[in-house]
Amino acid sequence: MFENFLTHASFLYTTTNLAVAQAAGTSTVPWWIWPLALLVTTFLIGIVAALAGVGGSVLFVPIVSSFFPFNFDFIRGSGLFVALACSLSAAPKLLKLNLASLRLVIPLALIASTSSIVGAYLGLSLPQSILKILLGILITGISVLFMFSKNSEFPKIGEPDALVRYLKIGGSYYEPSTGKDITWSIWRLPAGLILFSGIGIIAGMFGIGAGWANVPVLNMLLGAPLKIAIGTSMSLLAITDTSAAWIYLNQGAVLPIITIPSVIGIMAGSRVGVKLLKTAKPKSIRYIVILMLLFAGLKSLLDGLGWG
Amino acid sequence: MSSQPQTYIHSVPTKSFVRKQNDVLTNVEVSPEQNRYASILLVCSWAGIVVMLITFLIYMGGLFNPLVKPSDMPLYWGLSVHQYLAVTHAPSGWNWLSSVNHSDYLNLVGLAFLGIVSVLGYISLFIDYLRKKDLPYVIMVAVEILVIVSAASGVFHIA
Repeated sequence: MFENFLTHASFLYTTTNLAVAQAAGTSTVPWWIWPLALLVTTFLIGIVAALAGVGGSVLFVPIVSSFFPFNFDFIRGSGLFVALACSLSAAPKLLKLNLASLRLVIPLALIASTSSIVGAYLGLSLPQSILKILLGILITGISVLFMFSKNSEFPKIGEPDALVRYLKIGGSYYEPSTGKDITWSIWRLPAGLILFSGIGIIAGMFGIGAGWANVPVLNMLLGAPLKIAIGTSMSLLAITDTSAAWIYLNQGAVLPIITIPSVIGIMAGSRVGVKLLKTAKPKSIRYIVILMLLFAGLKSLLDGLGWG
Repeated sequence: MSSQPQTYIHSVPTKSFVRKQNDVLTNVEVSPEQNRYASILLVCSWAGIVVMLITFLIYMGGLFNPLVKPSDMPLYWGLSVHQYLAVTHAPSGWNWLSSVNHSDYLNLVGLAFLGIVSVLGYISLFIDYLRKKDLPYVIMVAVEILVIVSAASGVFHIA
């Protein structure tokens, strides 16, 4: 059943993008086709993103900039709102289940949201060809990261550093699969804060949510259990992306006709994706996402170099 | 540096048993400030999304005299933001509020509301941490509010 769905989804996705690419070259296309195509495309992105456990905007920005006629400025502005809306709808449940820790979110969010303002400035100031080249390199790098990264469910950590002890970061959550409580803490917080400043800049610059970077840093560097890393990352995005989203909104780089169908499409798609998770094969979905990212990353790189 | 693992798994067999153990319950219990913050996010984000959806349907229906009709958008959405502002004379910063009677700018109400949801949650956290006299978190939360409000105020302007 799931294979059938996947085949249909892939077919629909390819057909949509083909139609969109063809339509981009003709001026006779009715204007409403574009928001509708965007809604369908983002709905499919939402399904795939939820099945693969990645944020929607990391797929949204490269794919929409590859296949839609919208300017890159508006796509990045929309990407931030997509990430923000997804985060705001997922974070409350994670926080209430103690799968995200505010004591960990607050210091990291402060660094990341401040640096995302710098990123937004860079994004709105740099030439688009440079941005597309950088985005291409970044997205290709993320696909390679997905190929080789191995997160650890319960990483072993050393003695928590002085800053972690001072801020009393740590907690417990109930793990239903084992029927046990997991008590956790972290270490290497100062190094994590430095990395989060870089993550914030990238998020603001390219309008992509930063879950792809947050989770490995929280899990592999800081030593948070995987579930806490995912929950904390999702809660962080609501704050990190807010600052950058305001810069884009104030600069006029948010067009509702692009942003609103994208937000609605991805949110609806991710809800369907979560329901399909029961029958999904995460590995095959992961490969599809890696291929999509590789394709979108290389296309962005070629566009930026003027070879697209 | 010690390499002693710090992620512990308690040998508690079932959730129902956990519920009976007050000390364990305290461990896994969500802090009141985190619970309140999550509730604010939940209610406000859905409110923002509903407002966004309604205003978008109004805009797509061509109601409330949009300054740039949806059908004209293909002429502009390929322009860079700087070109778009120059060609359409679109307001920047908070000046869009003066055009909120036009449906294209009415759309921004829901989006702007999504942008202040985190601030509303942080204000509640600020009060909670202040009550608990948790100084490091009072300071961090206050600075975060300042950062977001500064970004939202439009003081950071790109020429």
